[in-house]
Amino acid sequence: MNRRNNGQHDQRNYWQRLRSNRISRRSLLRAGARAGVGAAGLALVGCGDDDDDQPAAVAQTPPQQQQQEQPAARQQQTTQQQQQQTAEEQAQQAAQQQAQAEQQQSETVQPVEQGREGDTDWERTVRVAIPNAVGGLDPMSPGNYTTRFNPPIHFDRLMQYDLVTREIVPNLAGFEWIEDFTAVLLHLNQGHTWHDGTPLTAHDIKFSIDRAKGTAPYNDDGTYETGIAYIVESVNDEVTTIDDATARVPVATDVTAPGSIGTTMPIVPRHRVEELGDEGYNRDGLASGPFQLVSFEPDIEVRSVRNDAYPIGYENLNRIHRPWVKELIQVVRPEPVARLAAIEAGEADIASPLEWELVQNYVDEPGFEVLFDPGCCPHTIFPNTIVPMLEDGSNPYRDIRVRQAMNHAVDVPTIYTSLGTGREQRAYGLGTRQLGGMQPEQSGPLTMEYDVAKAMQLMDAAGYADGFESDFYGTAGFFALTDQVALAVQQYLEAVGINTNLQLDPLPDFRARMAQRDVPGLHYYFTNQSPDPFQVINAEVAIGGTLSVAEYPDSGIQELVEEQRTEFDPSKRRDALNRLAQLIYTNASWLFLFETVGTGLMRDDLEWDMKGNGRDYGGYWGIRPIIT
Amino acid sequence: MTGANVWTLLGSRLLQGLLVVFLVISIVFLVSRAARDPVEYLTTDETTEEEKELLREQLGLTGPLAEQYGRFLLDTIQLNLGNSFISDLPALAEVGSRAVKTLQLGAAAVIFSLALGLPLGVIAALRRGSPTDWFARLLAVIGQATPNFWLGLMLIFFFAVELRWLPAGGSGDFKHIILPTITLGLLTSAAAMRLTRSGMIDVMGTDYIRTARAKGLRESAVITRHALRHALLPVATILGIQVGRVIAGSVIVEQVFAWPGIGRLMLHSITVGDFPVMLAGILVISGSIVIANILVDLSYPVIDPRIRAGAG
Repeated sequence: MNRRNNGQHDQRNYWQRLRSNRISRRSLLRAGARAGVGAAGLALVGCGDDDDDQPAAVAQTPPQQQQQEQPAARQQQTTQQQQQQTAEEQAQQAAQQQAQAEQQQSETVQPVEQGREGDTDWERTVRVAIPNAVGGLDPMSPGNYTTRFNPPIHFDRLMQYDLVTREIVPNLAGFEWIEDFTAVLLHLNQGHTWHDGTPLTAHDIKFSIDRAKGTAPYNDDGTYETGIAYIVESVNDEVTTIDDATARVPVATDVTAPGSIGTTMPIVPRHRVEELGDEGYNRDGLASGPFQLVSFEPDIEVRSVRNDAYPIGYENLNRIHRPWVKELIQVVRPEPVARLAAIEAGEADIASPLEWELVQNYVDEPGFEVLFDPGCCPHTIFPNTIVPMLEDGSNPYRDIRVRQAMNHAVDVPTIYTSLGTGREQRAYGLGTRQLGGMQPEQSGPLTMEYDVAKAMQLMDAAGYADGFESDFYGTAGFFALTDQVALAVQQYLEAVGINTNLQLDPLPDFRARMAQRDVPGLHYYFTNQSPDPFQVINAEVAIGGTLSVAEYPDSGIQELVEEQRTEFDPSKRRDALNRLAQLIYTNASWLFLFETVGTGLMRDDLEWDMKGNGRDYGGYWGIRPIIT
Repeated sequence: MTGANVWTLLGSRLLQGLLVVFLVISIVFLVSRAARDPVEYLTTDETTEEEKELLREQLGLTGPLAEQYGRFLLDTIQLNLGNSFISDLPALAEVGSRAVKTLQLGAAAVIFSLALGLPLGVIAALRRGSPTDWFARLLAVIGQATPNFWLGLMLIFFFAVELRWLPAGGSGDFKHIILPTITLGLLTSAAAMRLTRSGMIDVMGTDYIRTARAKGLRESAVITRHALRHALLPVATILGIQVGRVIAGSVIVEQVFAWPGIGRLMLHSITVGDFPVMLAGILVISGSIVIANILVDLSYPVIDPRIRAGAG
């Protein structure tokens, strides 16, 4: 067998050479322009639609938002169990009073201007170059729901998550458990209106949930096709409105239900949908969010203005708030280099996302600021342990020593410092560190460092001294780096005798294969950036999960999966999650790679801390123009 | 060519065109269904197989392929290609709204290519072997050898970033169409120039040109009314082919210049498996190419009286 290069590879691998030879596309463009050598330039410039990755990325959004729900929901349950002992009316009254108090506070608090010095330019128009803007304006239809340009900035959800504390906090409404956790009472905050001035009421909430379930009266034939029916699966009976500000939502006993409905489902205006019908509303959407839509020209631009009537002020900048920007124009520039040109030509103030390769030359360039959006989507390789892999019916990945050997075999820091921004971090737990991935500091240190000798010892001990052959599936075009990282990993694994046959596919095809769960080999996927890991657990850890290929029935993992799922006490659940993350790591369940860092470019008279929220374009309310 | 002959030609070409369009959309239908499951794009990691199946049913993606194909053909005949999986808006209307932009760009590119290629070809032919001829031929080689993606980026770099004379992308006013037009039209103009040059060189040595000169016609009249007209035949032929290339090239050019035409929409619909939009786009594009070629066929008798006389 062609195993073992005995460590010689570590100084001569191709991505290290690549690092030393890297030429940015911008430099290439300049050189190409000066030389006028078209064909040669083209071969290196390449033609790519970097938003190939976005559909799939967008498709992640709903569950990512869902993930945030569970811990906060449980945290609220502790106090809510106590509240159950009091009369329901008293609870409602108290919640309403609290909402009113918060509302008043929001209105009186002066804007807090943090970060760099300089007064806010309240009259500024900001142009953002984005890859695409297709779709309609109904945020509930399948495609639009996953479209980035519209729902996150125009439509409100009932709740949101605090970007720092990662707790579910009110946006349109707060919630409380009632009736022994079989229903949720939603208390609408005051002051929220639709952009046409109509008050937003509990009837709109009921209508939105009914519409998503296909039971809204205007659609009694059930012809409306929504993409978010799964969100309201937990609503197992009719939603009722107590008054204009209160709705009762009966749910199955599922601790994630309030968050699922609350943070993920956009609320739509009953009066407008009933007036225009589904198709009309899709063409002429009406929302209530921090930005008010002014015009939408598909694939050209989306023009919005600050919703000055938005009732949530600037007292907490880690949450959705009234924007600073007076006018926001999202201009479509599909090609990354063209986005870069747009900002250079003064046609855009922000260009995001942009590959690191394109923006790295701007780190020290006056007039610009490189945007870093850390903590996205830990890259992870899942070995299929379910089905036999080798001809003799065995599956080497079922042996923990082989999995440990894999983790020791790959020099992850070298990969991400060579190919990435250098700000990446090792992947560890069930999500990202920034947004609530279980921290190794909480659970135990990283132990599987790069050590080829140790990896080979482990392979010997597992009986694979001569190595083995394995298929290796990855994605192409989703993240800029996946293909290169996959090649790097392939080479590292080969050094310890794991010879892989690498196949890269578009994300939908890759995911469809992984979902079959019976394809042996390695599957290079990723976990996501949500503050709560329950989606990762459900999809990729739990036995029988939709994408679960790495299953370890005798490891104790499944018991912890159940424990965290049924634990209502937030601190106990947090403890269970930490133990689960630790066990997944010590079991070497996956090959842990790194958390990616998104990048973009901005003019330096703006201030924008993405806080891990930039990828979904949802953080535009955090852009602050500065008077220089 | 008599009126009856014109109608026979038109009818024959239309029938051929319909057959071509039918074959193209059938192939695209079968290949696209085999290649991509759009449900994977529209769902999340947590979506179960049952939920995916339900969505497939809603989108009309269930049942045997032959049944889906039959349904598709019936709908296509009625010009009902369904709604976009992404926007939930009628696919044909979406494509139609973009087609105007692509036609604008395509027409501008063709006009640009003729405006540049024909005069340059004539001048090069008349001054054969001169520095002007050499320069024109060099320009043609560069035009044909330069990939439009790279050329587009270079034009953006010089005219938008460095000089700031023209916008880097978008589709607002007249200024926005200049760079994409040059990018898209340069290749065609190179072809038009070369064909015009060679056609003119052939024609200028013929007897009827000598006769025209002997009759005392002005040189400009000899060139424009006699020589160029004859030399235009191959240009017209290549123009029909170039229409297809212009539309195909617009996919890249629209991507680079953020021009909101069919090309961009098609690229996106292929990426995400938005079948209704993809097929509506193919229908419009293949239909346009067929119509362009019919128009070219019909233009022959107009350009060359001998064809008219021969057919008649």
